[in-house]
Amino acid sequence: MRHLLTAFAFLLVLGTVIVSAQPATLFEQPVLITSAGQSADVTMAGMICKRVKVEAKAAPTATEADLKGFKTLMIVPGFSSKGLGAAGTSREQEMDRIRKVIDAAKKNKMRIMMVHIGGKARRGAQSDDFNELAMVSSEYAIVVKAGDEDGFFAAIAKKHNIPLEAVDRIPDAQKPVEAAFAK
Amino acid sequence: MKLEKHHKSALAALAAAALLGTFATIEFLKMHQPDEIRPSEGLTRTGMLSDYFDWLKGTNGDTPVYYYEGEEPGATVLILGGTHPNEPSGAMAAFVIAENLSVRQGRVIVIPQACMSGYYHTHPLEGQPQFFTVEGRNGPRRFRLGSRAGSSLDQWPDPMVYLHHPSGQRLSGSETRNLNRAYPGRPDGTFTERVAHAIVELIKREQVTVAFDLHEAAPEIPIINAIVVHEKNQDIGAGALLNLEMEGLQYALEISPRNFRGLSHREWGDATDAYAFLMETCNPIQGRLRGVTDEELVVEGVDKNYKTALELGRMRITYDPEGEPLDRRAARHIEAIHQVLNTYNELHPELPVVYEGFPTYVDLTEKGFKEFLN
Amino acid sequence: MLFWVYMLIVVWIAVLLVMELFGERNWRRQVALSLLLIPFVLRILQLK
Repeated sequence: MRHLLTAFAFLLVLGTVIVSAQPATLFEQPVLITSAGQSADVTMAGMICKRVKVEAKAAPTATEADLKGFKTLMIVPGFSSKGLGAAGTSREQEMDRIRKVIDAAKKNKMRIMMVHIGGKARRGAQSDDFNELAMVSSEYAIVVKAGDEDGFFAAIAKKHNIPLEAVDRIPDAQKPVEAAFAK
Repeated sequence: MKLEKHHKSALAALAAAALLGTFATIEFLKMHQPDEIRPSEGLTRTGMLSDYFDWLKGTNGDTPVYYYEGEEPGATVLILGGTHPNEPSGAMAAFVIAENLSVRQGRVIVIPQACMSGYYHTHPLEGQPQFFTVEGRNGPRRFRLGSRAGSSLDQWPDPMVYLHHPSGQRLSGSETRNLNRAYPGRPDGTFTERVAHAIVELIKREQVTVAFDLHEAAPEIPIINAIVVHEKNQDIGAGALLNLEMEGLQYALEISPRNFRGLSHREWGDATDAYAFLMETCNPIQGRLRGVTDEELVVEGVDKNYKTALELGRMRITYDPEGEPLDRRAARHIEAIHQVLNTYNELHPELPVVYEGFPTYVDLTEKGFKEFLN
Repeated sequence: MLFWVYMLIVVWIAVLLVMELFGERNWRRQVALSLLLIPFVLRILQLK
């Protein structure tokens, strides 16, 4: 009987972990939010964190050196030619930057999550390499459904076993962001 | 002197041309009649842009400025419509605000037609109507539909290449009459630069806290339904966008590029303390794919070419197949201004602006201008 | 200064058009020339 109960409890917990889109364990604060592609969505993500009282700093052009002192890296992917121009960087330089930041974050044992809130405008040929890199590097992802109508993120999530939370609108991302962090 | 046959026919052709020219001139001069504005009781005073730069007085660059002042001190807001007179939703949003606003704390300054010179003519070769009419509370209201750029009667000739002052940025020569490439302007520059200078002087002297520049763009332009912010007010922009999304209105947030000079969202933010915002809505009359550009297209925004293009799906278009009516576009601007100011007040409770009279998006969209233009 | 240079050019072209108009014998071409004259005259008179 005891074995049965133990097995049942184990299955219950396992089921919760598999079925839920929540991360397996909560992320820690403070969070460094950076862009992959230089869209202005990183500012939106910063405001979301502010509204749900998650301690975060938005640094669109963060380098490895900026990771010091942060526990979690939040990547907000999405290409913007205006953003690249404003940052004075090229597409190749931006890809190089975010790769280095991801590598350094992993080396520093930081946890990484992705938030894609740009919708359709931040998908397509110019954005998807940034989107894919951010997604495969993350342990948890939140996407606005309009940006995943073709199942791009869902397919990567399934392949790499990454919990994926899809929300209807940008403000709906506030709840999963809040829930993802330890208080 | 005996007139030969071909001399007589030449005179006849000249007379016919003179007659045609006279009729054309009568039509052109109709655009010199100012549009009527019927401000709300909340208006405290009226001024002119030349109050901030004397040179403009008596020129086509001078334009009315409307002040709404609360009893308590607070933030000062500037709302600019009609920077591009062929983008009517900005001017119409400003007219609706001016005809309904009252301010309790702080001040709101409204310039409905910033580029007045542009209202004296239509954009050459665009085949657009000179006027459009909407229903107001007390009957039809007619407004001018001008050109994107100031009149070449006020500034001529255009250079081959326009060099922006002070950056030296090079643009096409015709941009020299584009007010939204002329900021920060200069007092001894071109006609357009002087208008820009006056507006920047207003912002500085009135210590404007939040400044809005209202625009439109063609359905195929990526900046549609965007709010462009100076980097110092990107938090306010982001907060406003979240609020707008909760109201069911999608916008894109764009940060003003540092290396694209002359535009309000860049230069106002750099040259003054104001938080600068530029907003865009979708305007079919500016599009390259459009069909007949008549008054109906201006007001109702229904174009079957854009509907077909949307169905074909071969290019990126932001267009509602049911149409992009002018009242809905103005409503977007007003709601966006409202949410930016809400977010501003949230982040700056020490210097808020408190006002009444903005129609909601739903109200203006459903009831139209009829309920909100006097 | 540039304004007056361009105005001089406009006046000169208008004069050439008038001369051409009165020298032309084909009435269809005369109509075309007279139509062509309109924008130049409007610019000289600063109406358009």
